[in-house]
Amino acid sequence: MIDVNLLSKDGVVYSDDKNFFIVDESILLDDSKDFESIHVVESIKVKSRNRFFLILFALLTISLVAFSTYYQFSIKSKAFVDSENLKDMIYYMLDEKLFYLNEMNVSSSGISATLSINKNSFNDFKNDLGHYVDSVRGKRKFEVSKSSNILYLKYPYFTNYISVFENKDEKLNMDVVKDRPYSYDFLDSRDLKHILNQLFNDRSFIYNFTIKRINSDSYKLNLF
Amino acid sequence: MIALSIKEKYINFISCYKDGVDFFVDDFGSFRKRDDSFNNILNSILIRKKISKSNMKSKKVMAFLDLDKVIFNQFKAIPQLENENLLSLHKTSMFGKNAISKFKDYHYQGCSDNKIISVYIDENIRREYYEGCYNIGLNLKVLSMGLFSAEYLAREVFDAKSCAKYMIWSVGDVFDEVMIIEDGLLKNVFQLLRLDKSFKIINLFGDSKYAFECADSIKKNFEKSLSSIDFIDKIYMYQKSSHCDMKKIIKKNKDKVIILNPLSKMNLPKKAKFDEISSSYLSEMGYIFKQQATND
Repeated sequence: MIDVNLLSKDGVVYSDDKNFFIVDESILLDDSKDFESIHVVESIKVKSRNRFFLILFALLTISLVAFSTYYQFSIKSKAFVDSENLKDMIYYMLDEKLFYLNEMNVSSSGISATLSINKNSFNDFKNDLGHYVDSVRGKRKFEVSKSSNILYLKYPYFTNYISVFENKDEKLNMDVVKDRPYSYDFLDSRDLKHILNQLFNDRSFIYNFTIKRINSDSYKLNLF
Repeated sequence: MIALSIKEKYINFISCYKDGVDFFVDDFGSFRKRDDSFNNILNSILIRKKISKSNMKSKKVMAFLDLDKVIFNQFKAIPQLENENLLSLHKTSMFGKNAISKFKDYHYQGCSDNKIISVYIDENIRREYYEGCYNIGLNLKVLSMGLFSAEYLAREVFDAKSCAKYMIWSVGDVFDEVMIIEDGLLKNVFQLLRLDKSFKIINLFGDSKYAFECADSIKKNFEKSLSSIDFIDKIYMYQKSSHCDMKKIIKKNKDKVIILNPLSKMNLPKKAKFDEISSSYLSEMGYIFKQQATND
Protein backbone atom coordinates (compact mmCIF):
# COMPACT_ATOMS: atom_id res chain seq x y z
CA MET A 1 0.00 0.00 0.00
CA ILE A 2 1.76 3.10 -1.20
CA ASP A 3 0.09 6.48 -0.94
CA VAL A 4 2.17 9.34 -2.26
CA ASN A 5 1.91 12.98 -1.24
CA LEU A 6 4.89 14.92 -2.54
CA LEU A 7 4.06 17.85 -0.25
CA SER A 8 4.69 15.90 2.91
CA LYS A 9 8.06 15.82 4.61
CA ASP A 10 10.61 13.94 2.56
CA GLY A 11 12.34 10.78 3.74
CA VAL A 12 11.08 7.30 4.47
CA VAL A 13 7.27 6.99 4.38
CA TYR A 14 5.63 4.02 6.03
CA SER A 15 2.52 2.33 4.66
CA ASP A 16 0.46 3.12 7.75
CA ASP A 17 1.47 6.76 7.55
CA LYS A 18 -1.16 8.91 9.25
CA ASN A 19 0.51 12.17 8.28
CA PHE A 20 -0.56 11.99 4.65
CA PHE A 21 -2.14 15.45 4.63
CA ILE A 22 0.51 17.18 6.75
CA VAL A 23 2.46 19.54 4.51
CA ASP A 24 6.23 19.81 4.84
CA GLU A 25 7.09 22.90 6.92
CA SER A 26 9.93 23.79 4.56
CA ILE A 27 7.46 24.61 1.79
CA LEU A 28 4.96 26.52 3.92
CA LEU A 29 4.95 30.22 3.18
CA ASP A 30 5.26 32.65 6.04
CA ASP A 31 1.74 33.92 6.74
CA SER A 32 3.11 36.60 9.01
CA LYS A 33 4.32 38.51 5.98
CA ASP A 34 1.87 41.15 4.84
CA PHE A 35 -0.29 40.12 1.92
CA GLU A 36 0.94 42.76 -0.51
CA SER A 37 4.59 41.78 -0.18
CA ILE A 38 4.03 38.14 -1.05
CA HIS A 39 1.03 38.27 -3.32
CA VAL A 40 1.99 37.93 -6.95
CA VAL A 41 -0.48 39.34 -9.40
CA GLU A 42 -0.14 37.76 -12.80
CA SER A 43 -1.15 39.76 -15.80
CA ILE A 44 -4.31 38.52 -17.44
CA LYS A 45 -3.88 37.57 -21.03
CA VAL A 46 -6.70 39.06 -23.05
CA LYS A 47 -7.81 37.25 -26.17
CA SER A 48 -7.26 39.25 -29.33
CA ARG A 49 -11.02 39.37 -30.07
CA ASN A 50 -11.76 40.52 -26.53
CA ARG A 51 -8.89 43.01 -26.76
CA PHE A 52 -10.52 44.63 -29.81
CA PHE A 53 -13.79 45.13 -27.94
CA LEU A 54 -11.90 46.31 -24.86
CA ILE A 55 -10.06 48.97 -26.87
CA LEU A 56 -13.29 49.97 -28.63
CA PHE A 57 -15.05 50.27 -25.30
CA ALA A 58 -12.16 52.35 -23.88
CA LEU A 59 -12.21 54.68 -26.89
CA LEU A 60 -15.96 55.15 -26.66
CA THR A 61 -15.68 55.89 -22.96
CA ILE A 62 -12.87 58.41 -23.53
CA SER A 63 -14.84 60.06 -26.35
CA LEU A 64 -17.94 60.28 -24.18
CA VAL A 65 -16.02 61.82 -21.27
CA ALA A 66 -14.22 64.25 -23.61
CA PHE A 67 -17.46 65.33 -25.27
CA SER A 68 -19.21 65.70 -21.91
CA THR A 69 -16.35 67.85 -20.64
CA TYR A 70 -16.34 69.91 -23.82
CA TYR A 71 -20.11 70.30 -23.66
CA GLN A 72 -20.04 71.26 -19.99
CA PHE A 73 -17.29 73.86 -20.26
CA SER A 74 -17.36 74.99 -23.85
CA ILE A 75 -20.92 74.82 -25.04
CA LYS A 76 -23.30 74.62 -22.13
CA SER A 77 -21.42 77.10 -19.93
CA LYS A 78 -20.28 79.41 -22.67
CA ALA A 79 -21.93 82.72 -23.16
CA PHE A 80 -22.25 84.45 -26.51
CA VAL A 81 -21.72 88.18 -26.71
CA ASP A 82 -22.24 90.35 -29.79
CA SER A 83 -19.06 92.39 -30.18
CA GLU A 84 -20.96 95.39 -31.53
CA ASN A 85 -23.21 95.49 -28.47
CA LEU A 86 -20.14 95.21 -26.24
CA LYS A 87 -18.50 98.10 -28.09
CA ASP A 88 -21.67 100.19 -27.73
CA MET A 89 -21.78 99.47 -24.00
CA ILE A 90 -18.17 100.54 -23.56
CA TYR A 91 -18.77 103.71 -25.60
CA TYR A 92 -21.81 104.50 -23.46
CA MET A 93 -19.79 103.97 -20.26
CA LEU A 94 -17.06 106.28 -21.54
CA ASP A 95 -19.50 108.99 -22.65
CA GLU A 96 -21.89 108.98 -19.69
CA LYS A 97 -21.37 111.90 -17.31
CA LEU A 98 -23.43 110.50 -14.42
CA PHE A 99 -20.78 107.89 -13.60
CA TYR A 100 -17.19 107.06 -14.52
CA LEU A 101 -15.77 103.87 -15.84
CA ASN A 102 -12.96 103.07 -13.40
CA GLU A 103 -11.89 99.73 -14.76
CA MET A 104 -13.00 97.19 -17.28
CA ASN A 105 -11.69 93.74 -18.19
CA VAL A 106 -12.69 91.84 -21.32
CA SER A 107 -11.36 88.36 -21.94
CA SER A 108 -12.46 84.89 -22.97
CA SER A 109 -13.24 84.11 -19.33
CA GLY A 110 -15.76 86.95 -19.06
CA ILE A 111 -16.32 90.66 -18.60
CA SER A 112 -16.03 92.79 -15.48
CA ALA A 113 -16.48 96.50 -14.93
CA THR A 114 -16.18 98.87 -11.99
CA LEU A 115 -18.09 102.16 -12.14
CA SER A 116 -17.85 105.17 -9.85
CA ILE A 117 -21.33 106.39 -9.21
CA ASN A 118 -23.20 108.93 -7.20
CA LYS A 119 -25.92 107.16 -5.28
CA ASN A 120 -28.24 110.10 -5.74
CA SER A 121 -28.03 109.91 -9.52
CA PHE A 122 -28.16 106.11 -9.80
CA ASN A 123 -31.83 106.10 -10.76
CA ASP A 124 -31.12 108.62 -13.53
CA PHE A 125 -28.88 106.31 -15.52
CA LYS A 126 -30.17 102.96 -14.25
CA ASN A 127 -32.47 102.37 -17.18
CA ASP A 128 -29.98 103.43 -19.84
CA LEU A 129 -27.20 101.31 -18.37
CA GLY A 130 -29.64 98.43 -18.02
CA HIS A 131 -30.49 98.73 -21.70
CA TYR A 132 -26.83 98.33 -22.77
CA VAL A 133 -26.14 95.59 -20.23
CA ASP A 134 -29.17 93.65 -21.42
CA SER A 135 -28.06 93.90 -25.02
CA VAL A 136 -24.69 92.38 -24.07
CA ARG A 137 -25.73 89.65 -21.64
CA GLY A 138 -27.86 87.57 -24.00
CA LYS A 139 -29.34 84.62 -22.08
CA ARG A 140 -26.97 85.07 -19.16
CA LYS A 141 -27.10 87.59 -16.38
CA PHE A 142 -24.56 90.06 -15.11
CA GLU A 143 -23.76 89.77 -11.43
CA VAL A 144 -24.38 93.24 -10.00
CA SER A 145 -23.32 94.57 -6.62
CA LYS A 146 -23.50 98.14 -5.46
CA SER A 147 -22.01 100.15 -2.63
CA SER A 148 -22.66 103.79 -1.93
CA ASN A 149 -20.37 105.00 -4.71
CA ILE A 150 -19.20 101.89 -6.61
CA LEU A 151 -21.14 99.66 -8.95
CA TYR A 152 -19.64 96.27 -9.82
CA LEU A 153 -20.70 94.42 -12.93
CA LYS A 154 -19.44 90.92 -13.54
CA TYR A 155 -20.11 88.50 -16.38
CA PRO A 156 -18.29 85.40 -15.08
CA TYR A 157 -18.71 82.98 -18.00
CA PHE A 158 -16.49 81.55 -20.65
CA THR A 159 -17.43 83.87 -23.45
CA ASN A 160 -17.55 83.60 -27.19
CA TYR A 161 -17.51 86.95 -28.91
CA ILE A 162 -19.43 86.96 -32.13
CA SER A 163 -19.86 89.31 -35.03
CA VAL A 164 -23.41 89.69 -36.17
CA PHE A 165 -23.68 90.98 -39.69
CA GLU A 166 -26.36 93.24 -41.00
CA ASN A 167 -28.67 90.55 -42.30
CA LYS A 168 -28.49 89.00 -38.77
CA ASP A 169 -28.54 85.50 -40.23
CA GLU A 170 -24.83 85.45 -40.50
CA LYS A 171 -22.83 85.12 -37.32
CA LEU A 172 -19.12 84.67 -36.97
CA ASN A 173 -17.20 83.49 -33.95
CA MET A 174 -14.32 85.81 -33.17
CA ASP A 175 -11.08 84.29 -31.97
CA VAL A 176 -9.79 85.72 -28.75
CA VAL A 177 -6.19 86.51 -29.66
CA LYS A 178 -3.34 86.50 -27.22
CA ASP A 179 -0.70 88.75 -28.62
CA ARG A 180 2.39 90.12 -26.98
CA PRO A 181 1.31 92.55 -24.24
CA TYR A 182 0.92 96.11 -25.37
CA SER A 183 -0.31 99.13 -23.54
CA TYR A 184 -1.64 102.58 -24.50
CA ASP A 185 -1.23 105.17 -21.81
CA PHE A 186 -2.94 108.49 -21.20
CA LEU A 187 -5.68 108.15 -23.74
CA ASP A 188 -8.60 110.48 -23.55
CA SER A 189 -12.01 108.99 -24.17
CA ARG A 190 -12.02 109.99 -27.84
CA ASP A 191 -8.67 108.29 -28.55
CA LEU A 192 -9.66 105.29 -26.53
CA LYS A 193 -12.87 104.90 -28.53
CA HIS A 194 -10.89 105.28 -31.72
CA ILE A 195 -8.53 102.45 -30.76
CA LEU A 196 -11.41 100.29 -29.58
CA ASN A 197 -13.14 100.92 -32.85
CA GLN A 198 -10.04 99.66 -34.64
CA LEU A 199 -9.93 96.61 -32.38
CA PHE A 200 -13.56 95.76 -32.93
CA ASN A 201 -13.35 96.55 -36.62
CA ASP A 202 -11.73 93.28 -37.45
CA ARG A 203 -14.63 90.96 -36.98
CA SER A 204 -12.62 87.80 -37.02
CA PHE A 205 -10.78 88.21 -33.73
CA ILE A 206 -10.71 90.20 -30.53
CA TYR A 207 -7.93 90.89 -28.04
CA ASN A 208 -8.15 90.43 -24.33
CA PHE A 209 -7.98 93.95 -22.95
CA THR A 210 -8.22 96.03 -19.83
CA ILE A 211 -9.27 99.67 -19.53
CA LYS A 212 -8.17 101.62 -16.45
CA ARG A 213 -9.07 105.18 -15.61
CA ILE A 214 -5.93 107.06 -14.65
CA ASN A 215 -7.49 110.41 -13.86
CA SER A 216 -10.55 112.39 -14.78
CA ASP A 217 -9.38 112.84 -18.38
CA SER A 218 -7.28 109.86 -19.27
CA TYR A 219 -7.37 106.09 -19.54
CA LYS A 220 -4.90 103.30 -19.97
CA LEU A 221 -5.57 100.44 -22.36
CA ASN A 222 -3.72 97.14 -21.92
CA LEU A 223 -3.86 94.43 -24.53
CA PHE A 224 -2.79 90.97 -23.39
CA MET B 1 -12.30 20.58 -2.54
CA ILE B 2 -10.97 21.09 -6.03
CA ALA B 3 -8.95 18.24 -7.50
CA LEU B 4 -7.28 18.39 -10.87
CA SER B 5 -5.03 16.20 -12.94
CA ILE B 6 -2.58 18.03 -15.13
CA LYS B 7 -1.88 16.38 -18.46
CA GLU B 8 0.33 17.43 -21.34
CA LYS B 9 -2.59 18.86 -23.30
CA TYR B 10 -5.60 18.64 -20.98
CA ILE B 11 -6.72 19.59 -17.52
CA ASN B 12 -9.24 17.33 -15.80
CA PHE B 13 -10.99 18.61 -12.69
CA ILE B 14 -13.69 17.95 -10.15
CA SER B 15 -15.13 20.21 -7.49
CA CYS B 16 -16.88 18.44 -4.63
CA TYR B 17 -17.55 18.60 -0.92
CA LYS B 18 -18.17 16.17 1.87
CA ASP B 19 -21.34 16.30 3.91
CA GLY B 20 -21.35 13.68 6.65
CA VAL B 21 -20.03 10.55 5.01
CA ASP B 22 -21.25 11.43 1.53
CA PHE B 23 -19.55 13.30 -1.24
CA PHE B 24 -21.46 15.80 -3.36
CA VAL B 25 -20.24 16.98 -6.75
CA ASP B 26 -20.52 20.65 -7.76
CA ASP B 27 -18.88 20.39 -11.14
CA PHE B 28 -16.45 18.30 -13.14
CA GLY B 29 -14.96 18.38 -16.60
CA SER B 30 -11.97 18.44 -18.87
CA PHE B 31 -10.59 21.25 -21.00
CA ARG B 32 -7.66 21.84 -23.31
CA LYS B 33 -4.65 23.45 -21.62
CA ARG B 34 -4.04 26.85 -23.20
CA ASP B 35 -1.08 27.94 -21.11
CA ASP B 36 1.18 26.44 -18.50
CA SER B 37 0.54 28.97 -15.76
CA PHE B 38 -0.90 27.06 -12.80
CA ASN B 39 -2.59 30.27 -11.58
CA ASN B 40 -4.42 30.68 -14.89
CA ILE B 41 -5.47 27.02 -14.88
CA LEU B 42 -6.91 27.36 -11.36
CA ASN B 43 -8.60 30.65 -12.20
CA SER B 44 -10.29 29.16 -15.25
CA ILE B 45 -11.73 26.46 -12.97
CA LEU B 46 -12.72 28.83 -10.17
CA ILE B 47 -14.72 31.14 -12.45
CA ARG B 48 -16.98 28.32 -13.58
CA LYS B 49 -20.53 29.16 -12.62
CA LYS B 50 -21.26 25.96 -10.67
CA ILE B 51 -18.06 26.37 -8.64
CA SER B 52 -18.18 30.11 -8.01
CA LYS B 53 -21.80 29.85 -6.89
CA SER B 54 -21.32 26.73 -4.79
CA ASN B 55 -22.65 26.92 -1.25
CA MET B 56 -19.74 24.84 0.01
CA LYS B 57 -16.69 26.65 -1.28
CA SER B 58 -13.44 25.13 -0.15
CA LYS B 59 -9.87 26.34 -0.36
CA LYS B 60 -8.42 22.84 -0.48
CA VAL B 61 -6.80 21.67 -3.69
CA MET B 62 -5.32 18.36 -4.83
CA ALA B 63 -3.15 18.20 -7.93
CA PHE B 64 -2.14 15.05 -9.79
CA LEU B 65 0.72 14.73 -12.25
CA ASP B 66 1.73 12.17 -14.83
CA LEU B 67 4.47 9.71 -13.92
CA ASP B 68 7.04 11.41 -16.16
CA LYS B 69 6.98 14.53 -13.97
CA VAL B 70 8.87 12.66 -11.24
CA ILE B 71 11.88 10.34 -11.12
CA PHE B 72 11.57 6.78 -9.85
CA ASN B 73 14.21 4.50 -8.47
CA GLN B 74 13.98 1.12 -6.84
CA PHE B 75 16.50 -0.77 -4.78
CA LYS B 76 16.61 -3.68 -2.42
CA ALA B 77 16.96 -3.04 1.27
CA ILE B 78 20.24 -4.33 2.69
CA PRO B 79 19.88 -5.53 6.29
CA GLN B 80 23.51 -4.75 7.07
CA LEU B 81 23.17 -1.11 6.07
CA GLU B 82 21.08 1.58 7.78
CA ASN B 83 18.29 2.83 5.50
CA GLU B 84 19.39 6.46 5.91
CA ASN B 85 22.88 5.69 4.67
CA LEU B 86 21.54 3.63 1.80
CA LEU B 87 19.14 6.36 0.70
CA SER B 88 21.84 9.00 0.86
CA LEU B 89 24.12 6.79 -1.20
CA HIS B 90 21.47 6.29 -3.89
CA LYS B 91 20.53 9.96 -4.02
CA THR B 92 24.14 11.06 -4.39
CA SER B 93 24.79 8.50 -7.09
CA MET B 94 21.69 9.65 -9.03
CA PHE B 95 22.05 13.42 -8.86
CA GLY B 96 25.63 14.12 -7.78
CA LYS B 97 26.59 16.18 -4.76
CA ASN B 98 25.85 19.55 -6.35
CA ALA B 99 22.29 18.89 -7.51
CA ILE B 100 21.26 16.79 -4.54
CA SER B 101 19.48 19.67 -2.78
CA LYS B 102 17.32 20.40 -5.84
CA PHE B 103 15.25 17.26 -5.30
CA LYS B 104 12.94 16.08 -2.55
CA ASP B 105 13.04 12.33 -2.09
CA TYR B 106 10.39 9.97 -0.74
CA HIS B 107 10.99 6.29 -0.04
CA TYR B 108 8.26 3.69 0.34
CA GLN B 109 8.61 0.17 1.64
CA GLY B 110 5.33 -1.23 0.34
CA CYS B 111 6.92 -3.08 -2.58
CA SER B 112 7.15 -6.78 -3.23
CA ASP B 113 10.48 -8.64 -2.88
CA ASN B 114 11.48 -6.42 0.07
CA LYS B 115 12.28 -3.57 -2.27
CA ILE B 116 12.12 0.16 -1.61
CA ILE B 117 10.70 2.51 -4.21
CA SER B 118 12.03 6.06 -4.26
CA VAL B 119 10.24 9.03 -5.80
CA TYR B 120 12.19 12.21 -6.50
CA ILE B 121 10.59 15.53 -7.39
CA ASP B 122 12.27 18.77 -8.35
CA GLU B 123 11.79 21.21 -5.46
CA ASN B 124 10.99 23.97 -7.97
CA ILE B 125 8.04 21.97 -9.37
CA ARG B 126 6.78 21.34 -5.84
CA ARG B 127 6.99 25.04 -5.01
CA GLU B 128 5.44 26.11 -8.32
CA TYR B 129 2.25 24.20 -7.57
CA TYR B 130 2.14 25.06 -3.86
CA GLU B 131 2.76 28.79 -4.39
CA GLY B 132 0.45 28.84 -7.44
CA CYS B 133 -2.40 27.91 -5.10
CA TYR B 134 -1.21 30.13 -2.25
CA ASN B 135 -1.05 33.21 -4.49
CA ILE B 136 -4.76 33.03 -5.21
CA GLY B 137 -5.80 32.13 -1.69
CA LEU B 138 -6.02 28.35 -2.11
CA ASN B 139 -4.35 25.67 -0.07
CA LEU B 140 -2.68 22.79 -1.90
CA LYS B 141 -3.07 19.74 0.31
CA VAL B 142 -1.92 16.95 -1.99
CA LEU B 143 0.53 16.79 -4.89
CA SER B 144 0.78 13.29 -6.25
CA MET B 145 0.70 11.10 -9.35
CA GLY B 146 -2.63 10.28 -10.95
CA LEU B 147 -1.92 6.56 -11.24
CA PHE B 148 -1.19 6.18 -7.52
CA SER B 149 -4.32 8.15 -6.66
CA ALA B 150 -6.40 5.91 -8.97
CA GLU B 151 -4.91 2.87 -7.24
CA TYR B 152 -6.18 4.24 -3.91
CA LEU B 153 -9.64 4.66 -5.43
CA ALA B 154 -9.61 1.06 -6.68
CA ARG B 155 -8.21 -0.33 -3.45
CA GLU B 156 -10.36 1.51 -0.91
CA VAL B 157 -13.53 2.51 -2.77
CA PHE B 158 -13.86 -0.26 -5.39
CA ASP B 159 -12.65 -2.94 -2.97
CA ALA B 160 -9.64 -4.05 -5.01
CA LYS B 161 -7.87 -4.90 -1.74
CA SER B 162 -9.98 -8.04 -1.59
CA CYS B 163 -8.17 -9.27 -4.72
CA ALA B 164 -4.80 -10.95 -4.40
CA LYS B 165 -3.56 -9.51 -7.67
CA TYR B 166 -4.98 -6.56 -9.52
CA MET B 167 -3.96 -4.14 -12.19
CA ILE B 168 -4.65 -0.42 -12.61
CA TRP B 169 -4.67 0.36 -16.32
CA SER B 170 -4.74 3.97 -17.39
CA VAL B 171 -5.60 4.27 -21.08
CA GLY B 172 -3.98 7.23 -22.82
CA ASP B 173 -3.99 8.54 -26.35
CA VAL B 174 -0.22 8.06 -26.80
CA PHE B 175 0.72 5.52 -24.18
CA ASP B 176 -0.91 3.71 -21.28
CA GLU B 177 0.23 3.49 -17.67
CA VAL B 178 -0.04 0.23 -15.79
CA MET B 179 0.40 -0.62 -12.11
CA ILE B 180 0.30 -4.15 -10.75
CA ILE B 181 -0.40 -4.86 -7.09
CA GLU B 182 0.24 -8.27 -5.63
CA ASP B 183 -0.77 -9.18 -2.08
CA GLY B 184 -1.13 -5.52 -1.21
CA LEU B 185 2.39 -4.74 -2.38
CA LEU B 186 3.49 -2.80 -5.42
CA LYS B 187 4.84 -5.24 -7.99
CA ASN B 188 5.30 -3.15 -11.14
CA VAL B 189 4.68 0.19 -12.74
CA PHE B 190 5.27 0.62 -16.45
CA GLN B 191 4.30 2.73 -19.42
CA LEU B 192 2.96 0.80 -22.36
CA LEU B 193 3.08 2.01 -25.93
CA ARG B 194 0.14 0.53 -27.88
CA LEU B 195 0.62 0.67 -31.63
CA ASP B 196 -2.04 -1.30 -33.47
CA LYS B 197 -1.28 -4.85 -32.40
CA SER B 198 2.14 -4.29 -30.84
CA PHE B 199 2.78 -3.53 -27.19
CA LYS B 200 6.04 -2.00 -26.11
CA ILE B 201 7.16 -1.18 -22.57
CA ILE B 202 8.88 2.20 -22.63
CA ASN B 203 9.47 2.82 -18.91
CA LEU B 204 9.25 0.53 -15.98
CA PHE B 205 10.24 -0.07 -12.42
CA GLY B 206 9.82 -3.22 -10.43
CA ASP B 207 10.49 -6.74 -11.63
CA SER B 208 11.41 -6.23 -15.30
CA LYS B 209 11.09 -9.92 -16.21
CA TYR B 210 7.62 -10.01 -14.73
CA ALA B 211 6.65 -6.76 -16.52
CA PHE B 212 7.65 -8.10 -19.95
CA GLU B 213 5.76 -11.34 -19.31
CA CYS B 214 2.67 -9.28 -18.43
CA ALA B 215 3.02 -7.18 -21.58
CA ASP B 216 3.36 -10.34 -23.69
CA SER B 217 0.31 -11.86 -22.07
CA ILE B 218 -1.74 -8.72 -22.66
CA LYS B 219 -0.59 -8.63 -26.28
CA LYS B 220 -1.61 -12.26 -26.89
CA ASN B 221 -5.07 -11.85 -25.39
CA PHE B 222 -5.87 -8.29 -26.31
CA GLU B 223 -7.66 -9.00 -29.57
CA LYS B 224 -9.86 -11.77 -28.10
CA SER B 225 -10.45 -11.35 -24.40
CA LEU B 226 -8.36 -10.36 -21.42
CA SER B 227 -10.30 -12.82 -19.26
CA SER B 228 -7.80 -15.52 -20.13
CA ILE B 229 -5.00 -13.54 -18.47
CA ASP B 230 -4.28 -15.50 -15.33
CA PHE B 231 -1.60 -13.43 -13.60
CA ILE B 232 -4.14 -10.97 -12.24
CA ASP B 233 -7.65 -11.23 -10.84
CA LYS B 234 -9.10 -7.88 -11.88
CA ILE B 235 -8.22 -5.00 -14.14
CA TYR B 236 -9.34 -1.56 -12.95
CA MET B 237 -9.37 0.64 -16.01
CA TYR B 238 -9.86 4.33 -16.70
CA GLN B 239 -8.96 6.68 -19.51
CA LYS B 240 -6.62 9.64 -19.01
CA SER B 241 -8.89 12.16 -20.69
CA SER B 242 -12.31 12.29 -22.27
CA HIS B 243 -10.65 12.07 -25.69
CA CYS B 244 -9.11 8.64 -25.20
CA ASP B 245 -11.30 5.71 -26.11
CA MET B 246 -11.34 2.55 -24.02
CA LYS B 247 -14.84 1.54 -25.07
CA LYS B 248 -13.53 -1.17 -27.40
CA ILE B 249 -11.43 -2.72 -24.63
CA ILE B 250 -14.32 -2.64 -22.16
CA LYS B 251 -16.75 -4.14 -24.65
CA LYS B 252 -14.78 -7.37 -25.01
CA ASN B 253 -13.73 -7.70 -21.37
CA LYS B 254 -16.71 -6.92 -19.19
CA ASP B 255 -16.05 -9.84 -16.86
CA LYS B 256 -12.41 -8.97 -16.22
CA VAL B 257 -12.36 -5.17 -16.46
CA ILE B 258 -13.94 -2.83 -13.94
CA ILE B 259 -14.40 0.78 -14.97
CA LEU B 260 -12.95 3.11 -12.38
CA ASN B 261 -14.98 6.28 -11.93
CA PRO B 262 -15.44 8.13 -8.63
CA LEU B 263 -18.71 9.69 -9.81
CA SER B 264 -20.43 6.34 -9.35
CA LYS B 265 -19.64 6.66 -5.61
CA MET B 266 -20.68 10.29 -5.28
CA ASN B 267 -23.88 12.32 -5.28
CA LEU B 268 -24.36 14.37 -8.41
CA PRO B 269 -26.36 17.58 -8.80
CA LYS B 270 -30.02 17.10 -9.70
CA LYS B 271 -30.61 16.12 -13.31
CA ALA B 272 -26.86 15.73 -13.88
CA LYS B 273 -25.82 12.69 -15.87
CA PHE B 274 -22.42 11.26 -16.62
CA ASP B 275 -20.94 8.79 -19.03
CA GLU B 276 -19.10 6.20 -16.96
CA ILE B 277 -16.35 5.63 -19.53
CA SER B 278 -15.71 9.10 -20.91
CA SER B 279 -15.60 10.70 -17.43
CA SER B 280 -13.45 7.91 -15.94
CA TYR B 281 -10.46 10.29 -16.08
CA LEU B 282 -11.72 11.52 -12.71
CA SER B 283 -10.29 8.32 -11.19
CA GLU B 284 -6.98 10.15 -10.82
CA MET B 285 -8.63 12.23 -8.09
CA GLY B 286 -9.05 9.13 -5.91
CA TYR B 287 -7.32 10.70 -2.91
CA ILE B 288 -10.44 12.83 -2.43
CA PHE B 289 -11.84 9.78 -0.65
CA LYS B 290 -8.77 9.61 1.55
CA GLN B 291 -9.82 12.79 3.32
CA GLN B 292 -12.98 10.96 4.32
CA ALA B 293 -10.93 8.10 5.71
CA THR B 294 -8.57 10.38 7.63
CA ASN B 295 -11.33 12.91 8.40
CA ASP B 296 -9.09 15.73 7.17
